[in-house]
Amino acid sequence: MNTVAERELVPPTRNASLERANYGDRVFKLLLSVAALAVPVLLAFLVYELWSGAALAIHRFGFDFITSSRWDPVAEEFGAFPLIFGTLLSSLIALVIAVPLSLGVAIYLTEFAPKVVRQPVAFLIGLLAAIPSVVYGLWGIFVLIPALRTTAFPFLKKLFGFLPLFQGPIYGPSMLAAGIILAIMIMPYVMSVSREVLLAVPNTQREAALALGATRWEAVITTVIPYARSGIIGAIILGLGRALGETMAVTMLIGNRHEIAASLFAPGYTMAAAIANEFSEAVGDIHLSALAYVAFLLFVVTVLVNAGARLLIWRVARGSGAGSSAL
Amino acid sequence: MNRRVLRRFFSNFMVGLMIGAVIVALLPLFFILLTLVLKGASSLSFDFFTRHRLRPANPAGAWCTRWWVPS
Repeated sequence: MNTVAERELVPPTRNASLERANYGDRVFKLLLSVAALAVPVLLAFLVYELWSGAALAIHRFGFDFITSSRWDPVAEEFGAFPLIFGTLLSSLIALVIAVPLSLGVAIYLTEFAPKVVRQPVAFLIGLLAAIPSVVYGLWGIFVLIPALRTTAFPFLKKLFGFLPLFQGPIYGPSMLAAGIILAIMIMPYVMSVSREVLLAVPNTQREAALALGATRWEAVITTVIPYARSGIIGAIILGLGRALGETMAVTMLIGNRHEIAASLFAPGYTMAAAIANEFSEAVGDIHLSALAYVAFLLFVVTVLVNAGARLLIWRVARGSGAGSSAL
Repeated sequence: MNRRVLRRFFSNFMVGLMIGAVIVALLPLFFILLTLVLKGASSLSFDFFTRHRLRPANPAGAWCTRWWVPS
């Protein structure tokens, strides 16, 4: 009879079925690795394609493309500054409107609402995310713009007319109209992510604040929100990313004018809208190349905004709160 | 008013504001659905999905759609 030590020295016999199973594992691992690598490779190809498509415009206009405001396809002069400005400003307007509303809804639904209200309201607001952007655009043209032109804009002009932001003629299609429609579009995203993050805050935090004599609102503002802040910032960044890249609804509402105006009532243009509007009509290599340059800049702006957001979340999340590990 | 009452009032006020946020957030959905129904009301019939509204202005010129033009 072999001793235990001798038995351990004997090499294990090769099992054919085990071998086959290992082979399957290896193939599966390889497939997963290829799938995982495909995403960065695709991104690299995308950047290369944009860069090579824009090469002509980059060579001709260089950095001036970013600072110039002239867009004249006939004279073959292109500058994207109004587009960059329009993209950032419309997204900023959307955030200014959507963030307080979304956070208010998320806080109400997680902290104050009766149970029977929570799910239906969350579902209804989530429905806003299911509406296609072209329907938002149509609704904007049929309802929002006439309503803004006849009531809201004159009211704002009367109230805040001393500010340059609310001066000038009221056309209807404008930066503010685009910002409002963007706000409606990003609201469900910011709301649902914020809600999930607030739900992840432990009840002990709330109970501790209430036990110290805080009102329910004070408990929310002093303990729940600080605990969830990194997740909330992540939700806002998610909305910002969507607002920056949104095309259809903005194209239908912003007025599509290559100009920078101080007034929010004036028409503007965004990078995504310019690409969507002009790509099919572009004649000449330089026009196409300029649009590819705009697409490249949109990509760069989006990457920069997201990188900045990551940095912000990283700095804020040092205390490690709800949702920070997911971001 | 003492401090406790003020704090309670502010707390309730903020909750009221958040209820207002819920209402404002739901308004677009309501108006979008209302608009789609009202604007499409004249076309709301089963025929809309089968033939009438999809008929081109000049059926004879549109060979690919002729087969569903009512005789």
